[in-house]
Amino acid sequence: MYILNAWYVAAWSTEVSREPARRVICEIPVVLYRTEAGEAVALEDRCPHRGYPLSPGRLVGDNIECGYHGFTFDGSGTCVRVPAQDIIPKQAFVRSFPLVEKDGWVWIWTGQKELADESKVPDTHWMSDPEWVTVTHSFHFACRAELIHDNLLDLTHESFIHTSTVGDDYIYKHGITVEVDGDVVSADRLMPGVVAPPLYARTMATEGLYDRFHCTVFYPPGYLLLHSGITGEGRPREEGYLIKVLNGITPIDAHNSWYYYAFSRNFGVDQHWATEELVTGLATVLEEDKDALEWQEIGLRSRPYDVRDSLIAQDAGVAKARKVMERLLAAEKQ
Amino acid sequence: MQLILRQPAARDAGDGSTGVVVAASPDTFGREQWQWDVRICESEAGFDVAVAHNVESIEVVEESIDVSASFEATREVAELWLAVVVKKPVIHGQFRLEAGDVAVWEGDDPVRIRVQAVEDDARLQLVRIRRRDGKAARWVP
Repeated sequence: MYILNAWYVAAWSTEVSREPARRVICEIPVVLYRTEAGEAVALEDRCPHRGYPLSPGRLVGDNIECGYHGFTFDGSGTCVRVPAQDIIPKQAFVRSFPLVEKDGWVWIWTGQKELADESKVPDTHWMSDPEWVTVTHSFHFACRAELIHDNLLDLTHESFIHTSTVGDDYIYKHGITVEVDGDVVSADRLMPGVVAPPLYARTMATEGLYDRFHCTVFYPPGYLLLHSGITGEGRPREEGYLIKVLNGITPIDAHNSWYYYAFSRNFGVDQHWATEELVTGLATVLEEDKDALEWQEIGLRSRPYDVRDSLIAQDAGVAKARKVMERLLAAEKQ
Repeated sequence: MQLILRQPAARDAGDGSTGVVVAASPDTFGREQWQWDVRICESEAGFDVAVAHNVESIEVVEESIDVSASFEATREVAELWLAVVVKKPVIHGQFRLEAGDVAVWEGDDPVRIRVQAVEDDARLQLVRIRRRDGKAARWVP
């Protein structure tokens, strides 16, 4: 069960081209391509004729032709050609999906078209702001999307999983402030007077002690924005080295997710060596998360149905986010 | 740990009673026994606060606080405090809390609580929760 009346990241802009690309989002098969004018199109990736996917087919102008018997569809999903006959069957159409392309991501609306509100696409401007430089990755995680939400809302795991990059024991020793405002849940941790995390310390050219902070904001159901950084002891966060980690989490099915990741920083913007170091270091972080969450998925799939998580205070953000997701899912069922 | 619960995040109690639940323990999908919940109901004076709790295990002290300028107090680590903003906005740390918002504090951070009024006549309902067995009251029992 998925929250469908929502925007999810479907792809990077660079992945949508004149070559049809397949994605499965919330168990819905989708084909993505661009028109000759460059506009992104998303259609259900299943020909109504006999169920063959459209993505192995070819583009004919702005239309896509099924590779099996040549049924052809325009960008709205209307069938415009059936090669074997002149009459186009009434039921020969495919569903089209609203898209918004912004800052390098292509967002798809998987629910009722009339509810698609472009103003609800989250703010991701750091990816295209020249004052910031961004490192990106994308991963397939063989786990349910909720585990990635939980992972980002409870960053105490950094102390144990990411010891060589962003982790330190001081993380779990500091409490959090969880804020719930409507559907948005944030978990904020301030760690005063600590050393910078190993992964950024060289790029930040830091020595000594700083105030470190991270605040994960969950915009359900598929986007988490992490405001992170270090600043001088007792100084405002805005003065510091700032990081925005943009996490587009898109369910594939009940046990698989796409993870679209962008790490934007406002320091060392022209230092290419730093960017290169971060490309490698952040890939390590994501591989460590992937490994942990895939093991967790295995653990959960073998866990008896009536056994629940034993949450602790540090899980306040996790628990609140789950409640919001439960509420949104219930509202959509009505 | 600190929880800031904005009034729109409140939910129906689901039992036909008036008011909405703004905070409760347990507030998880766990197997813990119900301990307490705090409900608010909009009134002419702002918000009325109602606390229900398991009297065998939990002790509750309620206090109405007039935040004419500021309010300061030190919480015992074993106590869990809830401050419901009954009337007029207040500032706590980096947070502006509007009427109907709730702050929950538990554990060893923060223990020093300081709330400042934004306007005259700001009022809080402070709910102090303590376990009868002497152990620390937590958001998850």
